Amino acid sequence: MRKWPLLLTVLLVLLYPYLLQSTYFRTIGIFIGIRAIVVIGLCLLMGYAGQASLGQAAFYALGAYTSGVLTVRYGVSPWLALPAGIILASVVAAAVGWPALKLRGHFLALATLSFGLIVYFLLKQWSFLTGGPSGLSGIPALSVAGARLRSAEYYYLVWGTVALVAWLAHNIVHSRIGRSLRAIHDSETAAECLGVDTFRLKLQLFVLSAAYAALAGTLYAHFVRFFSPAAFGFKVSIEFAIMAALGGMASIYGGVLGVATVTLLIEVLRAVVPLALPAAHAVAAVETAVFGLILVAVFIFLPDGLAGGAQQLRTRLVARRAAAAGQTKEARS
Amino acid sequence: MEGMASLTQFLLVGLTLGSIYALVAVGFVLVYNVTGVLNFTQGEFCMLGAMLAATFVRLGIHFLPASFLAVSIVVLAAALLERAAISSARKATPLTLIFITLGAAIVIRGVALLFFGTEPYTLPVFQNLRPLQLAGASVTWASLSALVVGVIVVLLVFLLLERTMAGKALRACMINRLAAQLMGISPQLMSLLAFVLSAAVGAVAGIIIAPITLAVYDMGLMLSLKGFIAATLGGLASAPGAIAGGLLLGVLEALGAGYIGSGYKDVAAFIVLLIVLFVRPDGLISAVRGERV
Amino acid sequence: MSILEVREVAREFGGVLAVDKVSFMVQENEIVSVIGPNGAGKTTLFNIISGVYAPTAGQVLLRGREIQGKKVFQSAGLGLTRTFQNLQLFSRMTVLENVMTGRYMRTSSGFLAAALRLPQAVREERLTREKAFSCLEQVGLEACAERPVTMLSFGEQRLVEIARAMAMEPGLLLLDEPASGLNPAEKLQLAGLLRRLRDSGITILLVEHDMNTVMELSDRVIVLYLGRKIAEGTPAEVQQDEMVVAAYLGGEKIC
Repeated sequence: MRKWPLLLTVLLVLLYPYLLQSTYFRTIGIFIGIRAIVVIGLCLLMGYAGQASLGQAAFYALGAYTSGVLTVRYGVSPWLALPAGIILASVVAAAVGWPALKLRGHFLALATLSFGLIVYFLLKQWSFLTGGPSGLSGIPALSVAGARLRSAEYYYLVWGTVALVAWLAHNIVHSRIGRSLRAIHDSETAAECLGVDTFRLKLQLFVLSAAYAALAGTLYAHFVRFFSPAAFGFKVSIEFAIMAALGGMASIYGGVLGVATVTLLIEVLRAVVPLALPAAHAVAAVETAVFGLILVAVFIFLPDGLAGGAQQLRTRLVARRAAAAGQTKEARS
Repeated sequence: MEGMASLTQFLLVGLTLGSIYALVAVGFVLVYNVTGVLNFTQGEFCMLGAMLAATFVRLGIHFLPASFLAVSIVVLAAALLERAAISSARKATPLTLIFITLGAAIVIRGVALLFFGTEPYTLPVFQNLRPLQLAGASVTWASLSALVVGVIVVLLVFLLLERTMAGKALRACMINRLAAQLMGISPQLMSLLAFVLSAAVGAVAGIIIAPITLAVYDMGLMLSLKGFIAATLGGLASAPGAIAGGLLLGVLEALGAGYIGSGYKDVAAFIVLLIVLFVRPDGLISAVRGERV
Repeated sequence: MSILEVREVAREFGGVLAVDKVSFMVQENEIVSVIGPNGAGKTTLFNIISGVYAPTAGQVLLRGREIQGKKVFQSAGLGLTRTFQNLQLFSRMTVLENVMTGRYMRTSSGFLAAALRLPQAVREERLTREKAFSCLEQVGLEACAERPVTMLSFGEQRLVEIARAMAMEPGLLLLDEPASGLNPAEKLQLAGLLRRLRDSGITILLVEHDMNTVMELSDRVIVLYLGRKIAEGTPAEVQQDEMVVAAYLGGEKIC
């Protein structure tokens, strides 16, 4: 990763709660962090291994609900429930991924989409466990040494986790494993000839992305402390995918960028649209239409997302400067 | 017999639903085999057909011209979509194509929400007619007409594919695109034709389902998915397979809803899909390898 | 024991026998070429040996172990790798990164070691880079190491693919028409490289149409015609063989 954008981002993240003092903006900041964890996992899966997953919300839900149910119904400590959620999601991901990753392209996307819908349905149906459509409430907040975390502290917990998760992802990408994943994406045939067990690697990555989503889910659960299945539907899976695509799938940095951009966009739309279109459903409609357009536009015009676009811009600027310097040298001599 | 009557009832409901799924599935198969694109907007074509027809009827236009107008508009929209988004991206990876059609479907849904709102629209065609009694089961006129229209549309599609030059060219493209191209058939034109035809079929499917289940702005997603499941059941390679798959899915759903519980109706379809994809790869060689056979 | 034994291998495609009871052996440190007119079954045979498909009959043995029907990556694990006629490079990587992927089988750090940047992973990464660079030096492309691989000429890309295979340190290297698309100077360079590889301990089996390269380079030649092996021997022997000459009449001439 380049030095100054990273430094700038870190600075921005650290100072954000002090720059924007209201609870509302702090909440948005926490949500951006939580979603960034999911999206970084998704960027790895879609960007490096080229596997489409339209069901990440299901793993997000598994993390949130496991933590929620264990703490609410069985009195388990949140700090124990957290890893439990991640483990459950990983096991489910392995079970689903095993047959699903044998499928290619469209069919994998549809299998993950179906899986997501089935989980959503079960969350509504099994109300004895999950509280059904009316949701799960009374989830305890996280506390450290007996003191409950307030929202400012939760902000730093979440973003600390983002930093950890991003660091792990960065290391994976710049390693033998990362290279093999990129190889699989470029030419699965050649990767196999070099001894890469492509299926196993894809499966491991799928499980990793599910674990990331579940981790984010548990953080979400103990922040909002009440949720219903509506927060984990197909729309949410698509939002994650849009954030990954817009930010730049083959870039961990792009994950955070995508989440921030989309969240900002939603806030702008919510503020602006009611001024032009007073109908109750107008905001949702415009939001939906704009999201769809972003998806189409990114995949046609900007396949490497904003992060990739910025990269290309920098490369072009450097090249232009080098050419200009070369010309001046020639003129002088 | 009480049991037989219920069974007949469920079968009739299943066949009605099935004929609609069959139409959507045919649309999927057409586009997929000609272009290699799995078209997520298929269900939205159905939704648009239904919503537009309902709106025109509300404005006082008689049912038949309203339907004709609705189908024409949907066909136009599909043509625009194909030219604008699909043809430029056809060489892209499967991931890209999925998201482009998915994105287009979402845009259509958003626009529909904007113009039509969230309330369901009715298509009151058979309001004053009482249901018929057939073999101990009661059949509404709406269901009956859905079945009949479905059969007619399927026959028309067959006639088109078998008897017209355009249809034969389309079939040639479905079987072997390169060979078709060498014979002078333009893949671009065939892609457009496939889209337009599938949109027409989809719009009609939407119009015939509206009197039964009402039309609402987000009905497209479920229809797309179920149509896709039906097509996959039928092997994704041919129109007859798609039709068989659609009917099978409809009947399975109706039987499931009747005997197990209506809550599980939607999820049953997805479980069926996962089972088919995971357990019967041999029957769907093209599905597993992700290639068009 | 021979490094490769092909035993009565046959392959049928919907009633058409593409490969019909072909048998031969390849010894260590040999360069063996498989030639034949178009439609002789060379590519199919090649794909069977490299594991792309299983034969409908017969066995393929690598150092005495049966590998027919095994997955491609499993054969790779036993020391067999191949290149492709139309190149299968990793288009979004640099030249060096492409060659580094060849070291996959010679290293072992997994997800955990990579994610946590354990010392083993860091060390392996450094060694991988060094070894890959030395492979690039052996093919003369070390100056291009950091360039995107797509910026190289076709001939250079072919060398990168070979360097990538070299990085794996395979026992048996299968080359699919390596001379195709190369100009005469590049073909000479290729022949020199392949001889050096053989001398360093890699056994080479190639499918090739370019007769000059084949006769120049090979220790032994196997000739296929309509799915059957019709001759086997040194280049000189094969050139004299009546059946071979007859098979090629009307097609390519041998010398």
